[in-house]
Amino acid sequence: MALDPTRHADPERWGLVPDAYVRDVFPEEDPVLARAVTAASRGQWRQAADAMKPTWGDWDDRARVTLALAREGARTDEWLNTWRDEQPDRDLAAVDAAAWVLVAKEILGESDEEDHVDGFHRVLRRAERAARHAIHLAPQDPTPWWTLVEVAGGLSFDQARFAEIWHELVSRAPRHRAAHEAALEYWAGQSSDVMLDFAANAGPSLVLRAAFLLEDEDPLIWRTELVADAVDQLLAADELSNDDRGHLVLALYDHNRFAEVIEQFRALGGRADGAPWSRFEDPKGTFLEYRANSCRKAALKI
Amino acid sequence: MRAVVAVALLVGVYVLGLALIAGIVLVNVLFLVHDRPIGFVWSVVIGGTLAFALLTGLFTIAGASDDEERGEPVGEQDEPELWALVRRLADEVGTRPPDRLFVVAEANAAVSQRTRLLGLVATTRRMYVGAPLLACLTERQLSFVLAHELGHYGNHDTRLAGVVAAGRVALVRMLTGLNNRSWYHVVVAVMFAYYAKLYFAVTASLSRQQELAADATATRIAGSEAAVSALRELPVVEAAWTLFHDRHFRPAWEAGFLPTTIFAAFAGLRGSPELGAYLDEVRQNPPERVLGRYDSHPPLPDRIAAVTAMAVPSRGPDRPAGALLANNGAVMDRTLVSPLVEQLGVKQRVDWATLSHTAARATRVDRSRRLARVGGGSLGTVLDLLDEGRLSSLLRTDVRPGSGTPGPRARREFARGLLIGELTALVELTLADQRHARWESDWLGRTTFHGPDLTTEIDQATDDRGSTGGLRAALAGLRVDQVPTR
Repeated sequence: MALDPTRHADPERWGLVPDAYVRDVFPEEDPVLARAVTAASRGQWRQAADAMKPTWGDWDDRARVTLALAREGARTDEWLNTWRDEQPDRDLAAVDAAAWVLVAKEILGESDEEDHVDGFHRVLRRAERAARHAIHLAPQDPTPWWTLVEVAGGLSFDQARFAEIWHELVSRAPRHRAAHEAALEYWAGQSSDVMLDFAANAGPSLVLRAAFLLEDEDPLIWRTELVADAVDQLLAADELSNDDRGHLVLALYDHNRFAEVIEQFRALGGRADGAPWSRFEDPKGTFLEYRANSCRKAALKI
Repeated sequence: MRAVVAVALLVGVYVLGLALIAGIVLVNVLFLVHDRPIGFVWSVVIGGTLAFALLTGLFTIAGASDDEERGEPVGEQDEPELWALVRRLADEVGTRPPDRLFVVAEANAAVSQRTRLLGLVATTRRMYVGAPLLACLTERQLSFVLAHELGHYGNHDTRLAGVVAAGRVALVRMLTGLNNRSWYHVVVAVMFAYYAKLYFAVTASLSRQQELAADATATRIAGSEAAVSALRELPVVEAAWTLFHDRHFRPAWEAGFLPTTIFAAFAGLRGSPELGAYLDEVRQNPPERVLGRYDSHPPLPDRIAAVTAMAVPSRGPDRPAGALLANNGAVMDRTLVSPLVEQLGVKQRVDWATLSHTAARATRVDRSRRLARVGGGSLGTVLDLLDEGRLSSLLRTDVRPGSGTPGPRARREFARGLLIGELTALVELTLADQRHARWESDWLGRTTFHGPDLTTEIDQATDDRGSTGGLRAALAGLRVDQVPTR
């Protein structure tokens, strides 16, 4: 540790929150949703149903609430079963299908052992059935189609089959954010060229996400014109999500634009909970490492 | 000229080794003389280990050789025709015949000799003939392969070539031997690696020439047609043999069985329709040889082109190489199964049809063993437990999902998937044992279950809120007694 150069970095001097304030887990900020998740963890479903109901029609919001509830559903499903017994509605069906996908992902983890892969596939097929059931209950809802996009990625559906699902999704919600992110993962498993085309059409946020997925096989991806344009577009935008800022950190860092990296870190504050940090083994550690290195390198540049 | 340099380099290995040891001793002495006790102790420890590694490198590894007793040794009285062929080939190549001959269970042939002093001195010569080659090639193709191997030792024009080749083998052996050991061996290996690279650079074109020269010698003996077809057929034989051995023979053997026929079955595999396409594919596009780092074989197309260009006509009729063997080639089976195994009776003799069924059954027994144990011994008792809502007691608790921090539901779902696999095996076993189903395997190793498809019923039975009703009804419809016989 004595030789660690980052100890001289001192992020606080740059107006950033102290290291101790950075966390990779934050409590749910939406009070209604927070109460619903807590109630669900105690086996009660009504608050979850109440949280889902008003999301109908605002599909990005519905995806957000569905995902938060599905996370709890993937942990324990007692409340989902009671919900099913007492009021088997379209909201339950959407959450249930999304929860199956998360269960499948947990079974796989980062493993490539046969048992884990088999379990992953089996539960994804279960998720597909649940999603089809949700589609049956709510034909206008894009949410279960988003779940099917995730299933398609995990089971590596062929492109014709994926195209059908994608068509159904975009005809219901042309700019469904979560589904676009899931589709990116699907294309990542198919072809990096098509994936980049897809991202380029879907906007700058997706381009940076695609670059992040590709950086291992193509370390020069951040220097491409496509990525540089996306960075400029995002920096010119009025409002940025924390995920966008996270990806901007990686892109700007690669471009040696450390002062701008620090600006993004300033806006992120202590939030190391989103993308791309959650993809690393140690999200908070990675966040802090980038932060400290940016401060150190920015100091050298001045 | 290159050969002379190569031999000088080989001698240099010893010079270098001894010089290094002398250097180590000198350093020690200097520390001692200049009264630096700590430095002396350190240099003795480090120098001593390095010197030890050097010596093991020079003596144990370079001194021993890659030839070993493997396969089935055949004496002249056992296989007179094969020996006669080998003697004739050695004579035509212009080298001395091997002292010992072995038939081995590999799709390959080789000549080795015990060497001393990094291959500078050669003694006992051994020849290994792969039984799969005897089973698949014609006599003339085999002659080409064996003459090629002998040719490495008998090219009159390059008298030192044999030494160069043997030296190459010895150096590779020394490096690989050193590399897989402790750190001080690796240190020495790194030093010698540079030396070896120099040697290989000097001898690379020489080795390439030697391969082509060996091909040419062998072609003059066997004819161009046999040479080309042998070169083309070798990867095919290897692919077929790997498939036969790894997917059929070894699993059966490990399960405690001994097929009644081995090489006869291998012949069946080569002729089987499901393999035709696969072997044709290998024949058209032979896999790139996985070259050792120091392998010096020229690419196959170059070799084929060279022997074709020689246009040596074939002499006389040809016949399967297996015809050379006495007792219908009984020696081939012995390469895999010594008579001792049979006498001890540790393996159960079965024919292949029974074997494929038995092997499939054995994997189902394995796969369902745990479930049968915790579930009361039979399918019936397992279903009873499920009906009593005791699914949890049947789930494995010793396995974890791939995620580092799985929740209770993911752990349970993962265990459920494994239970479904076990229950499926138990159902198949029960059905097969009561003659309602059977398994069939082809030579590609694909097993198909011929019986009722009960996937949905099994899913239902293992669901938290499911029921065994569907499965029970399906089994009852087949009049299956739910207590398996084992």
